[in-house]
Formats: sequence, C-alpha cells, structure tokens
Amino acid sequence: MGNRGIKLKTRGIASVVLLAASLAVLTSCGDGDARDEPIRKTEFLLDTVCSVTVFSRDDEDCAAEALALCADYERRLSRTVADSEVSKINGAGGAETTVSDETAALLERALYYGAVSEGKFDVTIGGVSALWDFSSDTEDRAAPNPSDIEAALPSVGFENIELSGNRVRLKDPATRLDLGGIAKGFIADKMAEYLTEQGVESALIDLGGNIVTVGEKQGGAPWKVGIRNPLPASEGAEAIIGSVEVTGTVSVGTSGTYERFFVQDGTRYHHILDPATGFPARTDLAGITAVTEKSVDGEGITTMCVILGSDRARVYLEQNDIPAVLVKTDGTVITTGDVNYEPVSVSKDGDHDGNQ
Amino acid sequence: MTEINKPGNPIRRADIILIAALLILATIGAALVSRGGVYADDADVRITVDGALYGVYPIGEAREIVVQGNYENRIVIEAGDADVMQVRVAGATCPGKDCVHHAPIRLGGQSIVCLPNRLSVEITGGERDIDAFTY
Amino acid sequence: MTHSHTDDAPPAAEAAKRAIPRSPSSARTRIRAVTICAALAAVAFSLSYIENLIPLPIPVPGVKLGFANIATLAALYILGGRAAFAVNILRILLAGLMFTGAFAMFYALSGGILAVIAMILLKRARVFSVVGVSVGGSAAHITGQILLASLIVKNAAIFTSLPLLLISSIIAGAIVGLIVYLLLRALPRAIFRQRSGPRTH
Repeated sequence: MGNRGIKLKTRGIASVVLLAASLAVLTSCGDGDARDEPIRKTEFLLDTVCSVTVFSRDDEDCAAEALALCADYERRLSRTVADSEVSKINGAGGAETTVSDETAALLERALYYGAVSEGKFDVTIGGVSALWDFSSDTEDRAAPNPSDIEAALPSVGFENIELSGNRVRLKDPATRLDLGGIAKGFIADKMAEYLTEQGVESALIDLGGNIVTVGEKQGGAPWKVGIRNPLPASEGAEAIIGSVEVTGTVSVGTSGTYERFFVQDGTRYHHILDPATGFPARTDLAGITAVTEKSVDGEGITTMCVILGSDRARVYLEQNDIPAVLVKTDGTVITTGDVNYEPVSVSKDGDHDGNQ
Repeated sequence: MTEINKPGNPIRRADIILIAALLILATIGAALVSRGGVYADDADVRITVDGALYGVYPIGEAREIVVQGNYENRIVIEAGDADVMQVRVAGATCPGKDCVHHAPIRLGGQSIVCLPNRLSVEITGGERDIDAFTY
Repeated sequence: MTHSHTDDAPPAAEAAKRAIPRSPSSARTRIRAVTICAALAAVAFSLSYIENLIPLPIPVPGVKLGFANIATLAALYILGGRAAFAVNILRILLAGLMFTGAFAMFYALSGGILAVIAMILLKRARVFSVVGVSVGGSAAHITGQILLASLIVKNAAIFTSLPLLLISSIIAGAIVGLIVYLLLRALPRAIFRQRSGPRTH
C-alpha cells in the first residue's frame, strides 16, 4: 500500500503547502532591504548632480528642504544668475554693494585662501573664466583667444576685493567675481548646518562629488568615502583608487583635472585655471582629496593645491596637518596628515577586491 | 500489466523528498547570494568579456558603454535615485537579443549575460560598504 | 486487420510473451509511435511558440516557463525515453529554425537533453511520480543551462541567479507534472498499449 502513494486529500494538501512554501521563499528574497530605507533626494543643481541622503529619520522634508536651500544659495551666489548677489557686485562698476551675512562670510574665506595660496586661488578670476566654457556638451568647445585672455587678466586679483562687514566693493570695475571654486563647499556646509539644526542624526550630502557627512553612520561604524579614480577611465581600470574613513560631521572634497575638460587639437584643457596665466593650471596632480571640518575650506584647499602642484601642496598640507590624498598624473598616490586612507587592492587575476 | 506506463499517483513520498531537498538547496543558495543582493549605490558595474575584465564603472554615474566582441553590446548605466538607478543592455547586435530583453538589474549580485558575445555585466559591491564617492 | 483474442492461451505462454521485451517491430506499433510523437512534437512546438510570446523579465537566457515540457513528459510516459528525446529535440529544432534563432537553439538543446536524461533516470527509479520526474527534469534543465552559460561567458557571476531560478523551476515543474498527470488520466487506455501484444478493443 505504501508504494501506491499518499491519499488524495493528503496529496492535495501537500502540494498546496509546498507551493506556498516556495512562494514564501521567493517573495522573501525581494529587494533585500529589510531595514528602513534611507530617504534620498537628488536634483540637478550647481551644474551637477546633488543629493541628500537622510538615514536617521522618516522625514522626507529634511532632504528636500536641504536641496531647496542649495538651490537658494545657487541663486544668490551664481555669477550667471542675473539678480544674484554676486552679479550685483560684479555689475556695480566699482560701487559698494551690501550683501547678506552668508555671502560676506564666504567672501572672507575666499580672501583667506587667496592670501594663503599667494594668489594661486583667486575668486576674482571671473573675467577670465567667463571666456572658457567647460560645461556644455558641444563638440566644438574651443580654447579662447590668447589675446582675449591677456586683455582680461589685469582685472584678476583678489586684492581688488574690499570687504568691510556686509559691504563689498570691487576696486577695479572690470574685476568679476567667480565663486565656483569655493561655493559648493560653502553651500554644503550650510546644508549640513540645516540638517543638524533639524535634529537629523545621520545623513550624507553629495554635491557633485563634494561630500559632507552629517553625524554618525548608522551602526556606529565610520563613514567610508570612496575616492574615484581621478585618472581617465580606460579598459580594465578600477573605478576607485581607495577610500577614506571619517567620523562625525566632516567634509571630504576633491578637485581634479579630469573632472571637466575638453581636448582641442591634441591639447587638453581642464577647468582649474591659473589666475596668473588665465589658462588651465600646469600641474602634476590629477586629483587631490582633502578631509576638513568645513567644506568651504576643503574646496579652497583642494583647488589651491591643484594649482600649486604636488610638491608645494604637500608642504602646505603637512604644515597645516590636513589629512589628504594626492594622486599625481603618473598614478602615484601620496597621503598627508593622519588621513585614514585605504587603497583598493587588485588581485592578480584581475578580480576587484575592495577588502583587505 | 500495461499499467506500467500509467502515471500512478501525482504525488508520492519520494517526490516530496526531492522537492524539499531542492528547495532547501535553493534557499541556502539564496541566503548565500543575498548577502550581496542589496541595493547599494556604492556598487560597481563589472564587465567581463570572455572571462577577461573589460572595465569597472561606478553605478552612481550615468554612462553608456559599448562593448565590441564577436558582437556589439550597448550597456547603459542609469544613475539617479534609488528607484531609478539601474543597469541594462540597451542594444545589441547578437542574434536573439536575450540580453536586451533581460530586465534591468539593480542589486548587487545580479548580472546580465550575452552568450554569443561572451559578455557578462554584473553589479558587485555592497561588500565594500562605501557610503559615498568623492570626485 | 484484427487479430483474435488470445486469452484462451495458457497463462505461462502469456507471461512468457509479456516477459520478453519486444521491440515495437510491428507496423502498427511503429505507426502509432510516429503518430503520437508527431502530435506531441506539434503540441510542444505550439506551446513553445506561445511561451516565446510572453517576455519573461528573468535572469538567464533560454529560461522559459517550460510548458512545452508537457508534451515531452507525456511522450516519456506514453511511449518511453526515446520518444521523449525525439519530441524534445524536434521541438527545439523547429523552434530554433522558426523563431528563436540558431544560437538559442544550441543553447536550448543542451538544457533540453540534460532534462530528458534526468527525467528518464528519475522515471526508471520508479519511486517518483510524474510530478517528481517533472520537477527533477526542470531542475536539471536550469542547472545545466546556468552551468553552460557560465562556461561560455567564463564568468561565474551568473550563478547568483540560480537559487531563485531553481525555485521557480520547481514550481513550474510541479505544475507541468500535475497537468501531465491529469492529461494522462484523461487519455484512453488504448494509447498506452505498447509491448503487451496485439490486444485490441
């Protein structure tokens, strides 16, 4: 009798149970994320992709509000927006303009880095940078006429900025402000401040690769920020060269000569201009990543370091105890300060292994 | 005696054992795999052709990669928010185009292959536990 | 063309006749086998075509719901292992020529052959029923295909889809098995006459 099998009813129940079990297993292997999914908002701002990810709360509004704040600052600080504070200063023809506290603070930082870099970092490069176009996708981006650059060069010089309290004046009416090299960081700081004020305990701000970690990572582990390979992508190249670990509310910013560039007649023109020449800075650095408390400093430092070149940059970074990772165009990686850097290892058979 | 070829009962003890064993195997396999099967925006897209590494690209950056082998595959990485980000094969010259018909992949561990072109596109990572990328 | 009923013959002779495995050499048996094979192959092909119309957003190339196996499985139980092979291969060849393309055809052949072998073995073991045989067949099919795919692409990444696919193949196999069971039950007994001699109704 046993060979004949199981009775009809048992058979039926067994099949149903088995099917149900299979379905249960199938559905449980869903999108894997049983934990609360972080809220992430992304927007195209500052001519790049900006995102805010909030891990610690269900409050969607925080992330959206932070991005709205970003857009707000963009309107205030962009030289291409007609009624921004920067445009007002630029268009004042040498007269005094009153700006908001934040903009004044930003200008103060800009002046600081101008001085520290001995002019290598200069936010009055607007007259020259307006001649260059690195953002459009057109095939025929061209280097501007050297004579045009020469004509605009005299207007460059951060000593032209006269700042007292909230009043700003450009001594040379031809001088133009371009805060592109420092605004992202400044805005990221403001966004981080906002989130912290709102009581967010764990969040991540990413403004086109400029990272600010807010609070502590969930679970207590340090934040791990991967450094994208600053050298051009090639067959078999790794996506990241390594990662840095940071804790708390910290900025991890990068400047590189391969982020925005174009090639014309065999010459490569990248977007970090040397204020002394009006042309892309000649440097042996492909990229540098610095870990700083404030992102505005991070931006100023990294932009400055690219223009300084690896040797002078190292000196500055070591002297000021700044944790950083420098990548030279020949692929050499140098670290400074007590940066918690972990390079990516590639095993012999080409397998990509990010762990030790 | 001609009942030899008749089906008999649809479910027997041996069947249940077989099915249970296979299910257990599959569940164990699924558990092993799902360690990496998490949505991770720090993941990489790893492309191999004929076993050799062709390139590794971050999943967070929108990209279009054209792979030339015996045939051509056009792989598109669509970056964006969690629910938008995905990797798919947008076009191919291989016969059958199973790779194109394949659903887009999003999670670590998932992969799309093109057999005629010996191509494999997989999403790695989640293991590296990277929170963000700076560039 | 009818033969006389021979149940007057002594039981020993009868038993002896049945014990000797007779090759289906008589014209009638051959015609029967060919006809049934052809009919089943046609059914398999149609099912295959219908399956092809339903786009499955699922991992591995060449993986389908496997409903065409209803015909293969039925062939296995009605006519035997060789018929099952014939039906399956015929179906794959036809489908390959008509709509799936050469590459997919070779790929499907590998999985199909493996599946039939598995089903024959499972059936021979005699402890499994239709459902078990079917499940075993589809599990073997998908495992074989993934293995082959990973070898072709020289990358093991595709194995990550095996667990889920295995589960779905179990379910599909069980459903196919049940359908075939009901099908076989509904078929007239005459269809199962094979080696037992020229008894007719």
